[in-house]
Amino acid sequence: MNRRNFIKNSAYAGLLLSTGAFPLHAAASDPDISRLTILHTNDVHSRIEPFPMDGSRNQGLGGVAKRATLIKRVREEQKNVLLLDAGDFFRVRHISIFGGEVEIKMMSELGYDAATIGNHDFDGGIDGLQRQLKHANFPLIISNYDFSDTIMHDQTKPYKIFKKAGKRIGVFGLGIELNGLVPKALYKETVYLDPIDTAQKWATFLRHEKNCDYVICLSHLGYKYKNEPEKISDVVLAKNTSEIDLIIGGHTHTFMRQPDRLQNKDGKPVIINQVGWAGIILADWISILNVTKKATVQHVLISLWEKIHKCLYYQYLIYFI
Amino acid sequence: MKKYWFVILIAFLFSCGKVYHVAEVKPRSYRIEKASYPVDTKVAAKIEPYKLRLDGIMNEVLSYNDEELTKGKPSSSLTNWFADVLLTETQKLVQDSVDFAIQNYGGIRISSLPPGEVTLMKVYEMMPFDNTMYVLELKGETVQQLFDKIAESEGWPISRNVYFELAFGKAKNIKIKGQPLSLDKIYRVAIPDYVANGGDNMSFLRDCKVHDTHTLVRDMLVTHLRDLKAKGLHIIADKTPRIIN
Repeated sequence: MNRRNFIKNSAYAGLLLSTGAFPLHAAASDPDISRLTILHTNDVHSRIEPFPMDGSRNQGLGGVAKRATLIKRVREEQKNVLLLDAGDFFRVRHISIFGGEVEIKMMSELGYDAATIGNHDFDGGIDGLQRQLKHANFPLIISNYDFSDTIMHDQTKPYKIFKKAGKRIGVFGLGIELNGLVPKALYKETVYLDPIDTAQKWATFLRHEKNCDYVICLSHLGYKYKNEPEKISDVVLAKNTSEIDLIIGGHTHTFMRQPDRLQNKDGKPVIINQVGWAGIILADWISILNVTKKATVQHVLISLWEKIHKCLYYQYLIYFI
Repeated sequence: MKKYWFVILIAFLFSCGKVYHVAEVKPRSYRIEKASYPVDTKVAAKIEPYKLRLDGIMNEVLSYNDEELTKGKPSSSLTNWFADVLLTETQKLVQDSVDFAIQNYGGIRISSLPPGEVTLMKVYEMMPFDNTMYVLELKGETVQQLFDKIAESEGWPISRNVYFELAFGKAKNIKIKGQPLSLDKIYRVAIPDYVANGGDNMSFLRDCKVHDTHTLVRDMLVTHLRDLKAKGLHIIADKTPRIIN
């Protein structure tokens, strides 16, 4: 068989797949399907108690003690739950009174699995943040702050892998540029690293070296900036990276009507979600992960086509050389 | 033909190694409202001691108020007092002279300050937002634009040394420190970050030169009231109208 024929045959296989002869969505009753529930908050800003009943827009909303009940109920219903926070759990006024102790203790009490760091988490200074870490029974995950020359050295993680229902869920975290947003006296020698490069590095690492089935980015970059579309944001991040499945965002206090579904630079789906602020809303994701060892025919064919596609590229090269 | 099947076989084996696929995503969200979920008593019990301590802190008497101050438009005793405090306290933090201070009307959250003790709690009620104070350098023409916007909403809290008249939604006869507004002059204006960042339709302020005092508006009020108490003074508001209908 010559190469030309091989390419022709493969192209037919591709055509068959792209015309939809094989449905992409597996049936929900498939025993190989596992459900992962992700609960998340962002920008809680020390809102321990519900908003006071003072006639303002948010009166009576939020509150840790009610969120605790809700989280407990979800955990009773669902087996595989991850509870995450996308930063700004602190807010300056509370820092000045209890130093952020209540916030961290409550997050531990509620069983947070991880959080990333927001700009306001430096409100009590990097030393203030470090002092509260002893109350945390969950890791702070931040991949693009280099704390080497600070008191936070070795106190955060660039990523963490959670094993839920036999699947590997990789989580990494991105913080916003601190310069201009937070006084230097507060963040000190923290070095900000480029979010896109950092994200790509860790997402690829988690997917391919650590064999993660699902990659989550906890981001405090902000959803998007209308007036500065080029400014790094979750939207910019999503479009310019690959291997991220879900971006859990914060900073812009965006109440999203529905999650934003975009395509990454490889044309694969990536989803962004954010839930406003102050713990008014708790997001609950049920991601139905279909990661199977007993691959179904359609998966084998899709995967096969991808491999062939890659091979083709090299074959062409060889052919023309 | 043999070679063809060999390639297929290799690819097949590779593809069986790991097949990854997110089949479906079902986002939901829970809004935590007043009556939506019962409180978790265990968590509530852990919060309680902090609440008690917080109450103790919030009940601190910062100062005394002799006469009821009310909030209103275009000028009022409460809005005058509030803006004057911002000017005085901002001036203490910056070297260059600050010409005047403004505060957005909606940012003051009480309709009146009753006579009697003024507690820290009261100040939080009055100013619950964590706005920080900026000093902006505004050209005279931008000040005119700012005052026109204020005129459109029939008056905002504005500090002493500013006087203008409302005429069909515009600011007329503007005087700053007794002098008519000079369109070419640069004025230094104390403005909360919310407004300076374009809040309340003030988007034209976004491009102005900014100095951040890194001090909360509320903290300025607190400092001012504590100082009054230390000096044995009570709150006194200047009731002279600054914006005239």
